Amino acid sequence: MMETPERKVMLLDMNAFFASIEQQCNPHLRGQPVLVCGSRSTRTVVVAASYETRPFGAKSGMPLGEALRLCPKAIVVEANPPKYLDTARGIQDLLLEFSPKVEIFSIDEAFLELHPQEDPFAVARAIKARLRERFTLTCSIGIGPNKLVAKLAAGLSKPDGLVWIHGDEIPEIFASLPVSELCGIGPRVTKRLQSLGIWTAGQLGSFPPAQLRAHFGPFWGELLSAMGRGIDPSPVVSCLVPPVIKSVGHSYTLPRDTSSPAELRAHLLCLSLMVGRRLRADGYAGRTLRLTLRTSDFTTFCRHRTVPRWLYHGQQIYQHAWHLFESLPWPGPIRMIGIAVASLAKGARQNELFAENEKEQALLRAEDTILDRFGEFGIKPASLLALSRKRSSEDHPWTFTSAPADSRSLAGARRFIRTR
Amino acid sequence: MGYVDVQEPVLALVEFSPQGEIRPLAFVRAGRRHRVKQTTYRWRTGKGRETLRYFAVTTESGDAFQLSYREDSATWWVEQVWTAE
Repeated sequence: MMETPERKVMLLDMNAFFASIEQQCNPHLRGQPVLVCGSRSTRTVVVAASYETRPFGAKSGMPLGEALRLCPKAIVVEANPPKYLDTARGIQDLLLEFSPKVEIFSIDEAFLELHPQEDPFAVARAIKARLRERFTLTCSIGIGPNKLVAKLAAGLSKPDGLVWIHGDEIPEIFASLPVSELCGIGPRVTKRLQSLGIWTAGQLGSFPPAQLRAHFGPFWGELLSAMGRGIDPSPVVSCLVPPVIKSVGHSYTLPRDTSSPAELRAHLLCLSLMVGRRLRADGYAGRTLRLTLRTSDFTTFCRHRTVPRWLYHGQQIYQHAWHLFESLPWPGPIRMIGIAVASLAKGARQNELFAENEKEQALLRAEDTILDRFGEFGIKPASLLALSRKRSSEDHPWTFTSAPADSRSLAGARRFIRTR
Repeated sequence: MGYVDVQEPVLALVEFSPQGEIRPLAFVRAGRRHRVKQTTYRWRTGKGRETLRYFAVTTESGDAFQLSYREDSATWWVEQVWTAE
């Protein structure tokens, strides 16, 4: 019987993506430590740190204040999401020239499935050359027999690395590889595994699967056991296949913690309008409203409510969200607020049309026409004029949440790249 | 080193190639003419139906600017100014 050839999966990881783009845009930033942040407020988090900041310990995901304490000479640049998204779209198009199977894993990472007969080193080098030529950007590429190993390989050599882990090399590499290095194993699972005496990926692979199932449940136990053996049968899902959207949401970290009902109402209305607009743009309506609040001590409250009518209208979402907010015991000053609509159905809005006030429908249609022409918030309720900052979905795409919720920040960009 | 957001319409000298490429060559801001030395990055985005094209450029004076071309109004703007100081 002929042996099935080993899969050739590639993960492309753009190096310090946002920071590299900013350094490319502005020659003054090249060779300098750069921190790219959501805003210039010290409450924001670092979304990208250039390689020059790494020796100081600054990294993405860190609060800006902390990153600046570690690297006081760093230059802070406010993120420019449209710039990164346009670049990501360009990279996606470029990758599709090499394989029809390209999966956007996050805004700066993508998987490619190559034909088993292709030389992955040659393809990887060609991709790197094209990226350098077109965007003057570098990437690290990992190649493996599946997504798990390809992701691991990409992380082994940064920046501008190229690593291929063959299937027969897995046992040797995994023998000494800390279990936390495997994609999908976070700090909590790592701790639980360590309590079982599992410190390396190799130990995980040789651990009795029955015991893993007993500790983590049948699904996770089996998955962890497979991961420890370098097995990952998950396919590379082409970005050309429209994603299944389970919820649509937005969240916002306030410039300062607030207890002001007026300010909270305005932010809630703003988020509701953004959610409603996205639902209508994609032809969805939903029945479940989810409200998330984070207080100044980082405690997060999440409440949801299923309502009898389909939700797609910003004002209607806002009314329900405010009722949900009022039903909560006062949690203290609010730091972050988020709204999502779930239990979605495509075209469900049509069933509501007869139940709606005709005047209200006409108003909504007129509003959408204006927003289509002039952009988001081209028209808005007067109550939002009090919000000093500009709120736009194009300005803050990383606050999007489009379930299936994935583990990456900037996850919503995935959807954004596909649909624009 | 720092930057300022300005959003000023400017008079611009631009090359529109037959292939559809757009290349800013020079612009006048506050009475001063800036010759573009290099376009270091370009990207585009949409606002409603309007397409906005952005160009990160460096000038012969050593400064860096972010320019935009608003297709609907066919106008050029300086969006951001970076200075070396």
